[in-house]
Formats: sequence, structure tokens, C-alpha cells
Amino acid sequence: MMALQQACQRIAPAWPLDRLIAVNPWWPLIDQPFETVAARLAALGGVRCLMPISHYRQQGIAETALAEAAAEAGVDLLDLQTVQDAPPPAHWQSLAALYQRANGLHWLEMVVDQISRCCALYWDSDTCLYRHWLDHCRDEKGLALLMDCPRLTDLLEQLPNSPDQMLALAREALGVDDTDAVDLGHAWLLEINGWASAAAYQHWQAAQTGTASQRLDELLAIRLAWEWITLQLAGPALLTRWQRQSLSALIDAHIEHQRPAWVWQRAQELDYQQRLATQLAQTPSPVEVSQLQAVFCIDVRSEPMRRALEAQDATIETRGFAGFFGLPIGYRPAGGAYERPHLPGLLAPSLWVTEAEPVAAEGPSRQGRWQQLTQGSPATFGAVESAGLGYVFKLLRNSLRPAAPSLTLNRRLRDYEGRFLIEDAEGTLDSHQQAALAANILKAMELTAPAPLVLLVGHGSSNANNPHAAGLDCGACSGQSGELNVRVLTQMVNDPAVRKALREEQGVDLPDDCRFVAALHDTSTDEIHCFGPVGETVRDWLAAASRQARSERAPKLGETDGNALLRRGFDASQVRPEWGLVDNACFIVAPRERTRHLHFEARSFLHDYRWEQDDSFARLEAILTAPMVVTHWINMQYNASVTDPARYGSGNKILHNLVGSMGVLEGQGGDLRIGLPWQSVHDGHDWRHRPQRLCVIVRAPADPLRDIVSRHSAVRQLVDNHWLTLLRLDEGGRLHRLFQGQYREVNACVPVSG
Amino acid sequence: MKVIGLDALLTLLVLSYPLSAMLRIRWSMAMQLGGFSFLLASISGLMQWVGGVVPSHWFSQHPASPVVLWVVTCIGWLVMRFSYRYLAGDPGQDAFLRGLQWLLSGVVVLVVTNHVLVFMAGWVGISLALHQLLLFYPQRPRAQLAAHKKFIFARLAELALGGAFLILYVQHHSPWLSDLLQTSGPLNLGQQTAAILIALAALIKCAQLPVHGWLIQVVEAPTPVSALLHAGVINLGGYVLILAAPLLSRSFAAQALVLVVAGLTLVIAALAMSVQTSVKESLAWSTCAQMGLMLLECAMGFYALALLHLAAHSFYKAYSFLYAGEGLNGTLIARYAGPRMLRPNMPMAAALSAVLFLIGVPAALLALFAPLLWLAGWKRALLLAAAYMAQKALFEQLLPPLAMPGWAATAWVLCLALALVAGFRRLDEPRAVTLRHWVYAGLFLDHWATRMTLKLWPAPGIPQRSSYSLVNKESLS
Repeated sequence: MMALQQACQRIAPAWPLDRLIAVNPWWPLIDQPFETVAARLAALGGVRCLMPISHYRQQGIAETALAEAAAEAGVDLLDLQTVQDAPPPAHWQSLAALYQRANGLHWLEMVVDQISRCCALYWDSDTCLYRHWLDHCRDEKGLALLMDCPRLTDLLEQLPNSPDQMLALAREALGVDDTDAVDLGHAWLLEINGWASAAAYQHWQAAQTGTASQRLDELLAIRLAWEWITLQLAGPALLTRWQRQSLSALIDAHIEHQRPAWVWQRAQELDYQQRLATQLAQTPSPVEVSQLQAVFCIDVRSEPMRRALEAQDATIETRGFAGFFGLPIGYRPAGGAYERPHLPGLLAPSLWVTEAEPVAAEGPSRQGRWQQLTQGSPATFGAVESAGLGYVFKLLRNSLRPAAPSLTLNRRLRDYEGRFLIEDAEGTLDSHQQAALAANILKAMELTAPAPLVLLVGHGSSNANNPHAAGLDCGACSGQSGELNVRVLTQMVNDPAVRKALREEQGVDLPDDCRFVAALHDTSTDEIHCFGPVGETVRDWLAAASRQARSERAPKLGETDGNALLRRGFDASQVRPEWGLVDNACFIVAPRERTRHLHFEARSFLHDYRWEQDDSFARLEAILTAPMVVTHWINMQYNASVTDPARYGSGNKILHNLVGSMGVLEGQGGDLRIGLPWQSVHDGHDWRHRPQRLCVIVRAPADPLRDIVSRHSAVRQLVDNHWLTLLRLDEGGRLHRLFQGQYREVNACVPVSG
Repeated sequence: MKVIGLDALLTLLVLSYPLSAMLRIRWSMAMQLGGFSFLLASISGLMQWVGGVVPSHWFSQHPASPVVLWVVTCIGWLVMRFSYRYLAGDPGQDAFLRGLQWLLSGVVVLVVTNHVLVFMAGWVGISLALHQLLLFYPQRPRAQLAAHKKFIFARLAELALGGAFLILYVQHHSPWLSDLLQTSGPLNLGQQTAAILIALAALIKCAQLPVHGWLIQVVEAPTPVSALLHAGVINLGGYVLILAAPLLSRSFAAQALVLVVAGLTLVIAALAMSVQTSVKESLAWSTCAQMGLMLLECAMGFYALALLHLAAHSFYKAYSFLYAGEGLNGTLIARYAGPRMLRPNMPMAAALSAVLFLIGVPAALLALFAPLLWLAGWKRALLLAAAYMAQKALFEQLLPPLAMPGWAATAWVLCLALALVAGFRRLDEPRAVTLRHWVYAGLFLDHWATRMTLKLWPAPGIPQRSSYSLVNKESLS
């Protein structure tokens, strides 16, 4: 493979909108230290992985933390305290960026826009994108006209017909040698990072199904075709100017420039870790007998809700577990051709769930037909003229008294009350297979001796008119609500036949009086909806907990009354229905008794784990390789959307323009936008998310933890290249940082007694 | 007495928006006032429709006026309510409200007045206020380009309309629109010229090909601006033609101009709409096509239907833009239900069309309505046909038909309808690649307009990469 094409492996996938999950946009680069990657990216395309120093200065970082960070980096504290933001050094520019035509239109923007349009037109096609693009360009008179550039037509005719030939041609014409090729390829792809990320998603999907995709290579060929065309138009003078740029010098300049900001960044993280150390040093508070166990998703939004629920009664116990509840499922709504995954993006579904009893298929179809009539057929005129006035009622109703928002297919799922079929490649799962699956999940949740009532609480969000709605749903369920997963698992473990098989074959003896009930935590209203009867006391507890959680959250959204949140998400003009996972900062893997009495301000992912019940540390291994990666992805997505919103954030919601389910544009054209919208991380005055690397705290013995980290290369790279901070919580409540094979204790900010 | 009451009501209405813009009232107040204006428009409409009251000659006595007023104040109110939260946290939120209020002031003045100078002031004011709103994010180069293009076309439209009024004033010596646009008997040369100029102004105002490009590029402005523009402002071209019906219906040249330009726009823009990749661009092309139909109906003499279309399209498009974020739902449904959702039913369409023809729907109208009967499935087709007939009857009560189109116009519209259906079928074929490319780009007509615009008004210092200004300010501070 050509060195240029290796650049394609440096792009992280971006999931489409209907299954929007968070991802670390630098995921393929974790084999290098984060600091190196940051400088390199800054040199290649002006990417920002850090905040300006003025931002850190406003964070109220304790001087001890700053001093410690300064000492760690070997920088003088006084210098650090007085350092000011300097404009960043130049970054590498492509030929298209350097080239300028007389009419004032920006050439690179025109090129990006043209590529973006072709991608949008031909993205769903199975055949070569480059060929589609070439055919399109050869018909296209627009750009030549617009840029007053008649030669363009001839140049397009000269382009080779295959992407490989195009890459070879451009490489030779531009004189790219092997040493720089990967970096340059990466830089070119960064200019169309949105579509490149969408293409990387296709590669990711293909890899999961064992096939291969060429989309990124094709995209790179298109981008290089434009470089080649630019070169022909501009002539050798521009080439000389372009070749004069030295990547290594640029990288060095950026390393130097970013040095103080890194110390500030580290100081902010240290400050947080020291405060956590103080909190976690408090004595644990175990629950003796529990009446009610509620298992929540590890999501940071579960933390205030769990606290609120536990506050209702001493016999309530909550647990944290990945929100897909261990079910490797996808959903195929009965009667249609659509399917979607309901599990973390790292995995592909191996089981498919569908409705066992008939459901109405007419509703969605009728809606779809009307849409096609008005938007894609010659009937559009008649349809608008005869039915248009009716929209005045829709407009008035939605403005004055909006109804609860929901995708049509999700509403249908909610209304369905029957059983679900669970199928694998061979056929429907019988009770023995279901028992085997359920036994594993129950053991992983440490629920082999459950309370009389167990609530399995998934989560989802109600928000209207929001292309990024899936980003507020459960990330562990592929950006869907956790509803299907909890309903299916509940159906399995309440089934008498499955219980019998559990007892006889799996050695999991669930008491006869123990009932599982599926529930859904609506993260925008903080209501908990139960899919089965729970009794009056529990209902009251849940209602009181909801009220408490709402009143804690309301001020953050600028509301004085918690009840305002009940309808906030219904409003189609509300661009901030909730704050989502904003300000996430740590992931604690420990039994609840270590954290039950603590307040984490909705910044913490919480996963229950008791190493005493994990014989071979297989479960710890699973937690570090799956949920930890997911939380790291979420953390990095929020960080990147704040540090470089132009590239890793999807921009201003007020201008969003949907492109199918692929993503949004900001305004009329330009690159596809990935990541979080500006409104999702900013309240108009300040950032609501403070970018800091995830702090992972694991209560486990030292050696097994170190073994697992060193055994898994991705985990080791995350830890040792400092993409996250891994801390071990020992029995005395002290924190020890594991970094490059060594443990070092983290100081608490006030002396801990005992 | 009633006349004085109605006059007072309309005066209050005219003053409410500009006063609230000048007094810089707060959002909550502004929204209430928007609702109040809608209420006033509803009351004044009821007085005129039900009570049969006609305002004094200072105000437009045309029956279309209260309808348009009602539509615009309603959408203005809803857009204001929408923008309040939608733009929360944006530093320009208050400036946005002022822009909105000035824009609505212009529209209300234009629709209510009977005085030609006030009318022209409203006409110019609308385009100036709109210019400000289009440049709500001035750092966006495409927004600038669109605004500049629109600015130039708007001046052309003003010249045309102003010229027409001047000619008519010279002939009638009256400042009242109702006098200027009235005529009996054949037109003289001046009136002919005026009719053509008015038609030209309407075509430009309604973004007909080849001056449609700005409408597509206005997607660069905030969503509520698009909603208000597509629902309340762009169709004023149609309103002018409805007012100028006496002239237009006697001027063959003006009719022919509108028939050709709007007719071709209707076909091309509808096809372009169906191949767009982004929701808002598709909606913008759809507006272009729907305006084509509205103007076509005017040129054929179906003024009542043009008015119905104006109102119906306004609400449809306001909804489509404001709720464009729901588009994903539609995409998923399409994936669920498969690509072929429509249920073409030719015998049913033929039978229904025959019935409609027999009860008096002219062939030219039927030609563009029939595809709905053909594709909608029989239940929906019946329902919509009934709704259509009812609304048509209602609006014809307001604006009785002046004349029926001649055979040439009918034949032309039949050809357009055939071209439309054939075009859609052809686009569906996998081999029609080149056609799709051409239609997607709107036959490259706008590229010429852009070049001209850049010659007249070169792009200002465009930043290196367009990114969100707030963020930039934030990170540089």
C-alpha cells in the first residue's frame, strides 16, 4: 500500500445521526502520546487540542496543583503564572489553500464545498465515489463558470479513471516522498475531516462485518485530484512556495507553543483529582438489607438521579452498569426494512429483536408517503395547495401546546405492549439459550441474589426538532434510548421457563418472589417511567426522587422551577433541552458503598464492581476494554468539541441543515460537520464543559490491574500515552496513579485523618 | 362608525411593529405584541369578510389584503415565539428581534396601505430589513454573497415597480393604488408598459429563474429568517400581481412573460427540489417552484387560487423550515417503508379528474393538480380533492374570477404538466446521470448571476475558513 493511503487509517469514524454516539476523534492516534499528537495535528491543520491559557486561569485551579504540574513538567511556576496566550505558529497549507483566484472567492472553500456536495449525492452508492465525482465534474459547468476558469473542463478530462492512478499521478506531480506522505495525506484529509470521518465510519462498519471499504482512499484521491488541478492552474511558482513548508519545523514550533498550556491543562486535572482523592477518602457506607435495587446506566446523568433515589429510603440500593445491559442486540421494527444496533459502537449486534405480535405499520408509511408527495414528486403543487392551510393548526398547536416529541418508530415501540422475539443467525433463542445469556449478565451485574424488586433503568431523552437527538440518548445503546434493552432483559429474566433453566443449568437461583421491572429514565425531564407495576411506595419514591433530581438540575438550565423541565424538551425551538454529558470528568469503578454518600455534581460515570466477586479478573478486563473505552470516547468528544469547535464540533444549531441521516451542514455548504453543536456545550456566556482528560478510578488490587493494562495494547496506550489518567483506589481510600507501569500516590488536597 | 373603527384598528396594527422596534421592547413583550397584532388582523379580517365593512380610501380595500395581513401577522407571531428560545445565548438576539420587527413593519404597511408612496416605502423597507437579517452572521462569506445578490435584484425590482407606478401616476394623477391599478377597456401603451414592469418586479421578487440563486443561498441565514422569508415575504410578488389584476388580465405581453418565466421555473425548480441533498436547499427550491405556480395562476386569471396558494404555501413552508430539524424522522421512515412508497392509481386519477372537469375546474388547473390524484392513493386523493374544491369556492367568494385562460395558455400549462411528470420519471432512471447533474445545479443559471454579482460587488475580505465567530472571539480573548 502506498504511504499516502496509510493516512486513511488515521481518521476516526463519525457515526451517522440516527445512531450518533460519541467517539474520540483522535482514536487511531492513541499509539502516540497525546502531547505529540496535539502538536502534530496543530502543525498539519491548525487543530486545537487545548484551551487558551486565559481559559485555564479562570478555572480557580489551586496553586498547589499548579505547582505540582509545573514541577512535573520542569517549568518555573512563576513563568507559568505570568504566561500569556500567544498566537499559534503557522500551520501547513495545501496548494488549494495557498491558491487564490481573482474573483475573491476562496478557492479551498469552493473545493471543499464541491467535494462535500458530491459526497452527499453519492454517499449511499456502493460503487466508487471517485468515479461518481469524476462523472459529476465532467458534466458540471458550474465551478468553471463561477471561478471564471474555462481550463478546468480540460483539466478534468485529463484525470485518470481510477483512484489509485489519481493518487500516483498527484504524488508524482507534487513530488511527495515517502517520509512525509502519511502526514501530508492526513493533512489533506483534515481539510475535509467531516466526510473523511463519515468514510472512516464506513470502514469501521465494513471491518465489523468482515468486508472492506475503499471510501477514504477514494476521498483522498478526490482531494488530491483538486491539488493536481490547482497545481496546473497555478503553475510551478506555487509548487515551490508549497514545498518550502517544512513539516518537522512546524511541529517543533507547535510543541514549543503548546508547552505552557499543557502544564495548565495538567494542573486543572490534578486539581480535580486531588479533590476526588479527598472525597473518596471518606469512610464507606454500606447498605444492609435492600428492598429495592435499581440498576442504572453508568452515564453521568444517572449519578444525581441515583443519589436522589437513595435519599428516599435507606433500603434502596442503586447500581451502575453499561446501559445496554450486556445485550448484544439490534432492533428490526416489524414490517419494515430498517434496522439499527442497540449496543456500544465497538461491537456489532449478534442478536436481533423484533416484535412478536402484530403492530400497526400503516402510521409510519402514511407519514412517509405524504413526505414523498410534497417533496419528491410532481404532486407537490396539488398537495401544498390543497393541504397547506392545514399547517396553520400544526404551527399553532406546536407553538402553544406542544406534545411529547418522539421519532415515529420509537413511539410505535413505546405503544407496543407485547413480547419480543430474540433471534440469532440460526433462529429464535429458546429458554436455554436465553438463560445462558441472562446468567452472564446477572453475574456481571452482581445480581445473583437480588432484592424482591429490581428495576432495570435504561435512559433516553425527550427533545424536539433536534438532528442531534441521538447524542442525548444512551451511548451504550448506539444512540437509542435504553428502552428496548431493559424491556427485553426483563422479559427474559421474568420468564418462568428461563428462570427454571437459570436454576437448573446456570446455577443462578432467583427467588420466586423476586420481580424485575423495566424502567426508563428520561434525562430531560428526570421522570422514571416503569414498564410494569411497581406498587405505591416505589412509585412515590420514584416521583420524589424525580422532583429532587429536577430541582438540582433546574438552575443549571436557567430555570427556577424544577417542573419547568417537564416540558422543556417538548419545545421545538429549545436548542438546549438538557446539558447531556457535559462536564464529564471521571469514571469510578467501585462498589456503590464507596461513593454512596458522595456528591459528584453529575460529572462522574459510575460502574459497580467488586473485585472480591471476580475470580479471574475477567470482568475487570471487560470493564477496562469496553465501558472505559466508551467513557473515554465520550470524554474526548466533549473535549474536542470545546477545544476545536470548528473542526470537531458541528457548529451553530441555528444554521444546521440536515443531509439525510449522514450529518448536518452549517448553512448552505462546506464540509459535513461532526461532533457536538455549539449550543450543546456553551450557554452563550461560558463553556459548560471544562475539557479535561477522563480520570478513571478503579478499586482493584494493584498487580492484577497492572497486568490487565499491560496485556491490552489499546488500554496500555490510553494510560501510558496519557489519553486518560488511571487511578487505583486502595482499601484505605487512597488513590494511586498507574502510569507507565508504576504506581504513584495522589495527594488529597486536605490532610486525611486516619 | 364601523369604518372609523376598522381604520383605527388598521392604524394600530400598522404602528405596532415599528413602535415596538423603536422602543426596543423586551422579548416577552414583543411576543405578546406579536400575538396582539395577530388578534387585530383577525378582527379586522372578520369585520371585512363577515361584517362587510370596507375601510376608508387610505387603506387597501382589496379583498386580498386582509387575507395576506392575517397570514403574515400569524407567521410573524409564531416566528417570534420560535426565535426567542432558538436564539437564546446568541449575542445578536436583540438585533435579530429588531430586524424581525422592521421586516414585519414593512410587510404590514405594504399590505394595508392604499397610497402608492407608502406602498413603495414598505416595499423598499422590507428588502432593507431583510438585508440586515440575511447578514445576521456577517462573517459568513456565502451569507454575504447571497445578501449582495439579493440587494442587487431587489433594486432592480424596485426600479421596475417604481417605474410602473410612475407611468400609471402620469396617466391617472392619483396617489391611490386602487385608482392606479384600475382600468376599463383596452390598455394604452403606458399601461401596457406598466403591466410588463409590474410582472417583471413580481418575477424578480418571487425568485424566478434565472434570479433565484439568492433564495437558495439564504439557507446561510438563521432558520427563523428562512421561515419568515419563505412564508411571509417572498410571496409579495404574487400579492402585487393580484392587486394589479385589472392591468395584467388585459396585457397579453405581461401574461406571456409570466407564463413563460414562471412556467419554466415551476418545472425546473420542482425537479431540482427532488434531487437536492440537504433539507433546507430542497425546501428553498420548492419555494421557487411554488412561487412559479402562484404567478402562473395569476397570469391565467385564477387570482382566487393564487391567493389560496399564497396562504397555503406560507403555512406549509413556515412549518417545514421551523421543524426542519425533524427531518431525520422522515429519513428513517423512508428507510423503514422502502423506496417505493407512493401508490399510483391511474384509473382513479382519470375518473376524479373527469369529475372535477365536469363540475367546472378548468383544464389548465387540473393539469397541475392531477398528479396528486394519481399518486396520493384513493382515500387521500378524494379527501384532498374535496378540500381543494371547498377552499377554491371559498376564495372565489372573495375574488371572483375575471377571465378564463385562452387555449394557448391552457396548452402551455398542459405541456408544462407533461414535462413535469416526464421529468420526474426520467430522474428516477439510473441512466439519466447527466440530467440529474444539470437539474441538481439548476441548469447552472445562478452561476452567471454570481459572477455578475461579484463583478458589481466584489467579495469583501473573506476569512481563511468560515467558522463560528463567537468561538473565535472566545478563544482569542
